[in-house]
This record gives sequence, structure tokens and C-alpha cells, in this order.
Amino acid sequence: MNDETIIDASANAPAARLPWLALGIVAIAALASAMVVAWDWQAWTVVWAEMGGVENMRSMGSSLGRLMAALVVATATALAFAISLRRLPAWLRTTLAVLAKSIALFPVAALTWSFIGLWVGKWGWPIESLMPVEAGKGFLPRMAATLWNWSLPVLLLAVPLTADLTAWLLTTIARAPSPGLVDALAAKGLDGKRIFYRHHLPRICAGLAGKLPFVTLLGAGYLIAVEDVLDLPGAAFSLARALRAGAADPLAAGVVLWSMTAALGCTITWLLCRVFCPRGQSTAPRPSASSRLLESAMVIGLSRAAGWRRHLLPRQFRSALHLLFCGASWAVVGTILISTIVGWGPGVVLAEATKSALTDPWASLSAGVSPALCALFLWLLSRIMAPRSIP
Amino acid sequence: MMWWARVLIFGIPLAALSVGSWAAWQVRSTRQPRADEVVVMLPGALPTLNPFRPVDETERQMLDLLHEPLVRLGRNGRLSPALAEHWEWHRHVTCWFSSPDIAQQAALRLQALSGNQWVASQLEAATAEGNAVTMRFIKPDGQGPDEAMRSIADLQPLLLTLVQLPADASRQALLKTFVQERADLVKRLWFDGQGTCEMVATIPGLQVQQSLTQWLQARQQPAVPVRSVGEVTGLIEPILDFKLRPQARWHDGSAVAVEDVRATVGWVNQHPGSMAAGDGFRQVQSITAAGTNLVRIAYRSRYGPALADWVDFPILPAAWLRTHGDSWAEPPPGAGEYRLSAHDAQSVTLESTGAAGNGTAIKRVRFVVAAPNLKTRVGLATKSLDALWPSPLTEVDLRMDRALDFQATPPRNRLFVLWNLRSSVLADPRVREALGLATNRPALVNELLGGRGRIVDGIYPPGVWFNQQLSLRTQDLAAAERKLAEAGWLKDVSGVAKTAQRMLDFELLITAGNPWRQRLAQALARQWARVGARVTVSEVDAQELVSRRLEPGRFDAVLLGMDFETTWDQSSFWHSSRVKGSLNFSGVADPQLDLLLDALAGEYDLAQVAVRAKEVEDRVLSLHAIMPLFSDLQQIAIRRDRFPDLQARPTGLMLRDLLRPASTRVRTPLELKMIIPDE
Repeated sequence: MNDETIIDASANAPAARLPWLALGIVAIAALASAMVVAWDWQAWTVVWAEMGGVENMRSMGSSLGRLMAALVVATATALAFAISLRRLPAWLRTTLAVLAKSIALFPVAALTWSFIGLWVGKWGWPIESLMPVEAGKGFLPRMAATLWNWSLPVLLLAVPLTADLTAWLLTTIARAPSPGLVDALAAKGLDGKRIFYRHHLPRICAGLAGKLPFVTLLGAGYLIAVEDVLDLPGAAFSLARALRAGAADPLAAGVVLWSMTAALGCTITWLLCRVFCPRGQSTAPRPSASSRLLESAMVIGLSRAAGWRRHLLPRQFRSALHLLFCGASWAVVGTILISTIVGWGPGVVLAEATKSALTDPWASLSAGVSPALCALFLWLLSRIMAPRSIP
Repeated sequence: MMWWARVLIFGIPLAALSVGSWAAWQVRSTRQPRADEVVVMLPGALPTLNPFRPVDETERQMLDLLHEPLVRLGRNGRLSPALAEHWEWHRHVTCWFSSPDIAQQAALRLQALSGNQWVASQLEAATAEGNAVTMRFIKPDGQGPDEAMRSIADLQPLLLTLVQLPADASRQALLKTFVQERADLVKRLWFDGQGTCEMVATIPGLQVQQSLTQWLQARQQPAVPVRSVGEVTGLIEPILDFKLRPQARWHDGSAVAVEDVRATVGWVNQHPGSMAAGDGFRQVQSITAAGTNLVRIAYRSRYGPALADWVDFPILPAAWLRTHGDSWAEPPPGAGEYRLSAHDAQSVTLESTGAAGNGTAIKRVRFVVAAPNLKTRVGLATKSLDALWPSPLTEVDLRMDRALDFQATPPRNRLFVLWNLRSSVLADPRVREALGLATNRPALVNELLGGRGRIVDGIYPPGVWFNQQLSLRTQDLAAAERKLAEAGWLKDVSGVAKTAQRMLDFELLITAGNPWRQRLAQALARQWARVGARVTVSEVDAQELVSRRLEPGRFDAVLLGMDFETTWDQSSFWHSSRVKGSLNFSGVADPQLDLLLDALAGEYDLAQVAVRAKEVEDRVLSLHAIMPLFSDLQQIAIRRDRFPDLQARPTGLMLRDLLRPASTRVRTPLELKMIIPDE
């Protein structure tokens, strides 16, 4: 055995888990749609046929392709940022993490419209999917048009995903493995860079893998805005179109299509994470933090009930609040996303601002600030409420 | 996990950015606007490009680029050369004699007339052919033929008989064969398109009857009754000569010939629904070639506005018409400045034919189907679009764009109220005038059309040379009430105008199933109610409106929409002889107007046409038989920076003008040099 492999780096890393909660939401949405379908099966089959069977598969494929590509780009970019910024002081990293999170929580529609406003309205450069005239003939123009048609939504979608992952990585990357391990590796003559890439980074990647399925679901949500704004045919575009139309059957079909795409995306991500970031098998499973806390309380003479009441209950309460605020934060993001498409409720200001995006690229950004701040506030609250980790 | 991890982590974002940047740069390069190409967005789907059945203004303008008429309405509203570089009216008088020798003698006698006599009689040529002598006169009207005929009267030209006989479509071929076989007797044959045939024969009507009956019996066909309608010694035929441009070419490069003109007119006459062929085409006796490029059109009667039927009438290649039958699966080729080079579901591309002297600066025009508002604006922002016809949905947004210049295209149709002069309530012209004065047309245009209408007064298309500039009538309620009071209609306490006998109530007809017109009619009724008129708006099925209400005169007022015509002849609308079976629904029977209309219909001098048309228009308007409301206002939005020196045209902007080089778009006064012929 090599000296450098004395410790399995990923032994204590969290496994990539399917986001059961997220998938549950998808399942509920699909179930609700299925109920609409069951209510009027005939009408739904007509709608489904109108959308086109093969066309649906193609839509799903397009959306899934964009989502996966954006996820790869976002993961790599977030890692690159985190690695490059890992030596910054902790307070600066925290600030950058909050900034990154604010970008992740910023309405994607506002970001996309602002980009269109700048790119098209200010600079007069083309966006392939929004052009009223087809690209010129010939291999090169066609290839460039296809590439641009693909790369733009991927890059735009990668922005909030990168920001979300970066925010998480910036807070995680500085948490070194146990000082003893670092000292042991240093004693064996390994330099800091080698320790980081060989031992620390795989551990971070394993943690990242646990987060990726959720980020995939997040991406699927953001994709609704991106495909809608860029007028790109896809599963998310179908849902956006159905939302705008407001009719029940197309909406049900759209939800089913999008849910299937999101669930498939999550599953693929989970499988890939399992393949590329396997969980170490060498160590026995550690008891959970709660049970360790309870055992410690019992050791010093407290009863199980008193230990739970004095030490575990406040912790669980904070966890519940953390979940509540975190959920509220994402709920704000989701509400703004949907209501902007529908042009109703809290998204109406943003929807109005997007109308003048070509002449005033900053209008939609300004309109997106309020909901982003609201979501960020809730996220920060959830962060404050999160219980401290137990060593 | 060292080097490859770093390569992946830093390489993927860089690769994604590189690919995206390269693609964006490439797309931007390939989409750079080209100086020789113009991209125009249509307001809807692509048109079928049938030159005889344009659906809307966009199709009309596209067809204007593809097809060329003999004469077109120029940018100053006057007739200008197109396929024909020159045209003129003449008159032919043909006499038949008992033998070719006598005909020769008559021709020689005419040729021997002194120069003064030729000038006095406006004789231009006299030629003998067989036993006929044809005299050609410079002017299509005047007394010249009488003087010339007197000089050959002693040679006893044969008396010509005009006969009429019923000839439905099944008998036409038979009668044509008869005329071919008996060319010695029957000199002219003409079908009016409504089941009647007219022949000119050198024998009396009874003999025509006998000859035809024998001929038909030999072929076991039933006899046809023949009716003699007149006798003359010389057959007078107005002749319209078009001299084709020698450079005129079809899109395949072949020369435009007389046969093409003949075939096109023949096709249109065989397909009456293909376009609104005017009275002029029905009066065509023959179309013949006189030399290589001279189209000679003989008319069977005197009708000056016949020239108007050729204005903007597209000519198609005879060879194509022969091979493509009745239903066209593809747009026909033309002789226009552009030809169809590509056609798919999303766009139509026209390419300049490159014909010498056509003056086009733009080599390619691409028409694309309508896109949503955002895509339209992106197209304009990226300079991928140069011009577009905004739809009502996109127009509001586009009007905010200062980079766009909105130009009106020529008006094509109009809306008016037609009064029934036989109506007991509306018989007094002062009542009709009062209702006109009570109408607030700007308010109607703004409220009901959202500004997409052009107020017109008058009966002719705005901008054409024979249309006079009328000062627009404005609403004047006080004057309207005065007029009604003069006519004996006084308002009662409830605000309804009354005479001793009855209230001022009448019915306004509209076509059923047109909500917009319903709203307009209601708005008019509200405006007229302010001067005391009580109006009932009635919807009538379009099929029944004309046959059951307008033709029998069973109406008070009707709101009608109609296309503008290129002709200046208004006889069908206002002549007293057209009350039955034509378009004089108002029942106008004014002898003075009849005289003016007859004079206008007989006028060949285009300079005089404007004068006579003004007289007709003034008289029609003084009768208050019609209350013009407004014409359509279709606008094309053009990027200012693409066409910086664009100027408005009195008749409206045509794409043809837009595509010409900037230098030719600016009008320069003509410098005509007088050439005095050598004595």
C-alpha cells in the first residue's frame, strides 16, 4: 500500500442520495396532473397528440440535454471558483458565498432578459432562437447557429447553478479534514497542494455529489424560465406555454412532461454520482449526531427524556425552523418564476419590466432585486437557524 | 486526482465559454446585414402569389415586383410606362367593297387626297387588303372619318349589318367555326361574356339568318334566332397601340411578345372570377401584332377608360399559361424586376433579374412570415429585418421604436354610406347633406380603427392624377340642424326630428357577420341621433344584400365597402341607365350627370380626363348620393438607418420604390428638349 493511501479520503463523506423530498414534490405534481388527465382522458389524449408523441420525447431530450450540460458546466465552474478562492480569508469567503447565493436566488427570467437586453438591444448581436429570419445556408453558418442555439441556454442556466454550488463550496472547502490527518500527511512529506487535491478535494466532491440531485431539480425549475424567454422548444417550454395559456389539459400535459424530465435528470445525476464518487466501504457506519448527543447526556446522569428535552429538542426545533425558512426562500424563487410567466401576482412587476428589456436592459434586473432580497433574507434566516454541527 | 482533476475542473468552463464565444462570433459574422439584400416581414403567412387574386397589400406589393403590366400607376400618381414604352389611341374605319379592285381604287383615291385634306380629316393611312379598305385616323374621336368616307362614297361600300344572337358557352366554338368558314360574309365576331354574340356581316340580317341556319342544319344543330341591330357603311373601331419595350424579358430570358398579351387577356376572359376585369376588356374585339413589338388592340366601341384596364394588369407568358391550365400549383413567372428564386414554408426570396436599366440596387429581397412581437423586435435590433408590415398586435409596440419610419402604402379600399335617393325620408338632398355634416369621421377612425384609416372625400382613389384635392368635410352640428330645418325637419322635445307627416327615422343596412361594421353603424347612428335622426341598423346576409335589397332599391341607406378602381369611368355607379342590373343602387337619375359621365367615358385625352373627372365628382358630391367615410391605411415600418433618404409618395409607398437606388428615389424635374422637325 502506498503511503499516500493510508486513509480512504471518501470514507466519511456523505453518499450521493436521491433527493426524496424533491422527487416527492415532482411526484405530487405528476399525480395532480394525472388526476386532471383521469378527469377528462379524452381531452387530454387530444392535447397529448397535439403536442406530438415523438415530439414530446424530443422535447424531453432537448431539455434534459440542456440541463445535464448546464449541470456539468456549473459543477466544474463552481469547483474552479472554490479552488481558486480557497485561500481567501474566511470573512471574505463568507461574503462571496452570500453574494453567490443571492445570484442563485435572483429570478432567472430577470437575468435572462437583462442578457437579451444587453446582447440584442444594446449591442445588436443575434440570439439564434429569437431571430425571425433563419440562419444562412452553408455548413459553417448552420453549425455556428446550432452551437449558439445550444450553448447560450446552457451558459445562462449554468449561471444560477454555478452560483448555488459556489455558495455551498465556499463554505465547505475550508473545512479541512481532521488536523491530525493533515499533520500525518505532511509528516510523510506531502505538500499542501498535494494534500488538497489528493485527500481534501475527493471528500468535497463526495459532498458535492450529495447536493447535485437537488441542484438538478433546481436547474429543471430554472430551465422553465430560460426556455420560455429564449423561445426554445423543450419540456420546460411546453410547461411555460401551458402556464401562460392557463388551460387545464395542456397544463397537465406540460407538468407531466416537465416532471418526467426533472425526475429523469435527478436519477441520471444520482447514478453518475454513485459511479464517479463511490462511498467508502472500509469504515463502519458512525452513529448519528443525535444519538451521540443523547448518549453523552445519559452518561452524565440524565434520563433519556430529560436528555432529549434539554439537548435534543432545541436542536430539532432549530432544524425545523431552518427547513422552514429554507423552504420559504425557494418558494419565493418558484413563485416569482411561475408568476412572471403567467404575468400575475408578485411576478407582474418583473413581467412588465421584461417588455422593455430590449430598450432598457437594467429594468428587469431592477425588478428582480426585491424578490431576490426577500429570498436571500429567508435563506440567511435559515442559515442562522441551522443547528451547529457536532464534531 | 491531480492533473486530470484540474484539467476537468478548469477545462470544462473554459471549453464551454470558448465554444459559446466562437459560435456567437460566427453567428454575428454570418448575420451581418448585406447592402444588396432587404429582408421584409409579412403580417401573416406567405401568400400564394397569384397575380390576378392578391389577397392583401403585402401580396399586391410582392406581385408588383414579380410581374409587370403594360402600363403602371407611377410614383406621381400618373400613368407611366412598364412593359409598354409607349401607347397611343387611333381609330380604324374599315369599309368592304364588292371586289378587291374597287377596294384598291378606294385606297388610291384616299391616298390621292391633298395634304390639307389629310390633316383636316386626321387621316394617317389608307390601305387596301382584299376587298376591304382600312383607314387609320390619328385621333380616336372627331369628325375625320365622315369626311374621308364622303370621298369614297361613290364607290358604294357594302352595307354592314350588325346582328346579335344568343350564344352560350357550348355554342361559341361552333359559331367561331362558322365565322372562319364564312369569312367572306362575316367580318367580325364578338362575345359579350353574358350569353350574347355579335356579328358584323356584309349581307343583310335575313341572309345571315339563312346562311347560319343552313350551316347549322348541315351539322344537325338547332337553328339560332338572329336579330339585326343596325347597319353602317364603315366599321369604326378605336385602336389602342402599345409599343413593347424591346428589352422586356420574361424571367427565363425570352422576350415579351404580343402573343403573351393576347394569351393573358384570353385567360382572364375565360376565368371571370380571376380578377375584376373592367368594362374595357369586354369591349376588346381583337388583339393583334402590328410589327414585332406593337400590340394592337381593337375595341368594338368608343370607350376612353379602356386604357385604365391595362393599368397594373399583370401580363403573363403565353407559354406558361398554355402548359399550366386552369389551376396553378406554383406562382407564375413574370417580367418584373425580380424573380422568385426560393420558396419554402418560412420565406420567399426574390432575386433581381439584373435586366439592364431596371435600376435596382437591391439584388435580393427576402420575405419572411410573421413572427411574435419579441422576435420582430430582435430582428430589428440586430438589423436582420429591414422593413415589416406590422400586425395590429405588434403595431403599438413598434410605434414606440424611434428607429422605425412608418410609411403609408397606397389605399386599396374605401368605406362609404350610400343613400337611396328614392327613399321617402332621404329623398331631399338637404337631409343627406345634413347627415353628412353630422358625421364626425375623425372620431370614428380613432375610436373604431385605432387610427388605421384615412379620411377621404370624393369618389376616386387618393393620389391619382384625375383625383382632385378636396378639402375634407368636418362635423358641423349647427349647420346640419339648419339644413334639416330648411328641409322641414324640426326637433321635438324628445330630440327627434319630425315633419308634420313623419319622424326622421330610417334603416341603415350592413352585411351580417361583421362585428366591426356593426359597431361602426351603431356609432354612425349615435352621431346622427344628435341632429334628430332615429336610425335602425339592420344586418342583411351578404348574398341577399345586393339581390334583395340594393338592386330592387329596398333600402334607405347602406354601409358599403369597396375596392378602389384604376378606372375613371363612374357610369356604372351613377348613370341613369345603370339603375337596373348595375351598381347604381342609389337610383341616381340626373341628366346633367349622365352627360358628364358620357363625356368622361368618351374622353381619350388624359389631360382632359382630370378636368372631366372633376366635373363628374363635383356633380356626384353635390347630389349627396354618397357619403365617403374613409379608406384603409396600411403602413409599412421601415428601419430609418437602412433607408435614410426615403420620401413619402403621394399615392403611397411601394416596395418597388424602396428597392431602387437612393439617387433614383429622389424626384428630379424632367428636362424636355423641343425638337423642331425639318421642313
